[in-house]
Amino acid sequence: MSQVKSLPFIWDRHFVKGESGDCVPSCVSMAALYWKDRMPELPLPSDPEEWKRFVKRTSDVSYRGTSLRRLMRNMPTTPEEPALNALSSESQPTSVQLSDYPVEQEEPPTLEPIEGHGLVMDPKQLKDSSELDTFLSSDPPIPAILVLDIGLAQYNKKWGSHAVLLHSVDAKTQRKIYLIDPMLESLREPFTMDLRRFEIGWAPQLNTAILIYPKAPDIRITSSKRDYVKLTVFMEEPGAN
Amino acid sequence: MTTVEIAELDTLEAYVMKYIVYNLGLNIVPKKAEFDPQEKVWKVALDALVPNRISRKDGRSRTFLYNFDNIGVVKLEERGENVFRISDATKASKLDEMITARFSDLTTEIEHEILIAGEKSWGKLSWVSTFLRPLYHIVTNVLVRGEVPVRYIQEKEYNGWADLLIQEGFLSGGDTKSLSATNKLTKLQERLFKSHEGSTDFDVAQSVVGAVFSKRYSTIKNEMRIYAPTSYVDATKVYYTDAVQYGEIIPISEEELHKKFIRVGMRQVLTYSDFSFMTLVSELVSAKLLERENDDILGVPEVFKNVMQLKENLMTNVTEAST
Repeated sequence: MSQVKSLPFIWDRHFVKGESGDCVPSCVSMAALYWKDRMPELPLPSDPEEWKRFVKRTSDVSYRGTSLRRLMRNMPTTPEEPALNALSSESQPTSVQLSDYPVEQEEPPTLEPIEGHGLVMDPKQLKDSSELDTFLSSDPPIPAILVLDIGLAQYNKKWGSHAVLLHSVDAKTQRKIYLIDPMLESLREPFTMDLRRFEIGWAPQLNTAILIYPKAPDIRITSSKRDYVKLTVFMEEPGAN
Repeated sequence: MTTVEIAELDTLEAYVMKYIVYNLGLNIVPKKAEFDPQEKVWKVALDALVPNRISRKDGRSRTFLYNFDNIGVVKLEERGENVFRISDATKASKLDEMITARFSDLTTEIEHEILIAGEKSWGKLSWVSTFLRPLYHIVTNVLVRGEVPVRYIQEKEYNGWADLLIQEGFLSGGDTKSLSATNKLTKLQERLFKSHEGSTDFDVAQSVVGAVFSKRYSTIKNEMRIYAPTSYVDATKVYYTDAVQYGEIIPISEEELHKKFIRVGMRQVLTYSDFSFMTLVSELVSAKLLERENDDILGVPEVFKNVMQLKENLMTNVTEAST
């Protein structure tokens, strides 16, 4: 693994445990803590307890799972920054304020990266696993949350979607991928999976990788229009607000 | 400048997946895109694959997978060569409704069994006595006065309530000028008094309301749209649905039960924090539908035995993912 690029992940500072239904918010928390370490000016809390509360209130409150919209709306922030979902005492009934679970607002759907608290959440459906190394080779490395059916990958049996954080990938020599699983707190190191088996579990989720990076002028993610790319899909009429 | 250049999948399904991740939730997966020649749009149907991890307090766990197919659709219209616009998509709130309805269909028999098991107790629970208050008024008045003039119950707040009591055979005389107790109500009163299960008219009213809630649950919930008392049924159902999948009475934490209870319907999000949920569980323990042992929530053996017989039907849309 010595020549393989990896996410400089510090377990004691960045790991946020997830339980049933908490894997995506846990991974987002880990990515946010990673960036907070590198860029202390980001309006994000560095206290892991804040992130544990974020995980709790964004874990599956509905059967459809967690959307990026919900995650961004509930993202914790430093005290001086108002939370995106701040509930005004005038506009919401008291029972909502007493609840740990903010009401899901119906918002216009989007296909554009979601920004807030200095971070961008940007889901990509990658062509294949050879793209993964790109995030780790960039300077600084960009955390990528990979969504896969881990049961399908390991046992050829559907378990549903699960989110893990990419640590490193050795596509050339070992053909292995190293993943940080929020459910495996006691492991305290990435767990290893055969890259081919990973691909089997990743494919039903359309090779989804959710990139988390700071909204900064010097970081740019582009989906290249390489020779095979033909499709354009949009939500609104061109030019519409 | 850090520029990361990547190559993405170039399929309609991949774009729909992007839509799902942003707006819906990661338990939703797209099917293959199909062209609908009538509407002249491409349609990508949406399935929900919902993992249900059942964690015992002792650390053991098993995961089951709910498979609800075709719960929504994303439509894409072609706007030029290889240019598509998402013209319509099932909203997140609609997906919640669809999945909750499918879960409800799957657990109808368990719900029925729980309603029977709680028949003697429902009338004693706080949300039932608050939201079904008109039933207590009518029954108590009939028992104390012998009959109640119909004019009393023609007021708006009693609309429909007397009908429930008549349809369940506790009152008679709906078309006349007064309502009176039927033999069924009188016998119930005698039985309660003799068996010392109840010694007051209000005890009888509680028993009658329990029976009406148990037998006319669907009317109360779906037609009269009284939702608060359904929380008791939902919380109990959530526990026993897991217990049936696991195949035994499982000790689970209150936090775990609360989390799953919230998933059953977003209405509960407005009503219950984990703080107030504790009281709801205590009421269910008092009703002998659940048990509490130290910090564990457990099922009642008699109730579990009855719901366990319904396993086969429940498992039609559930597969075990891991042990």
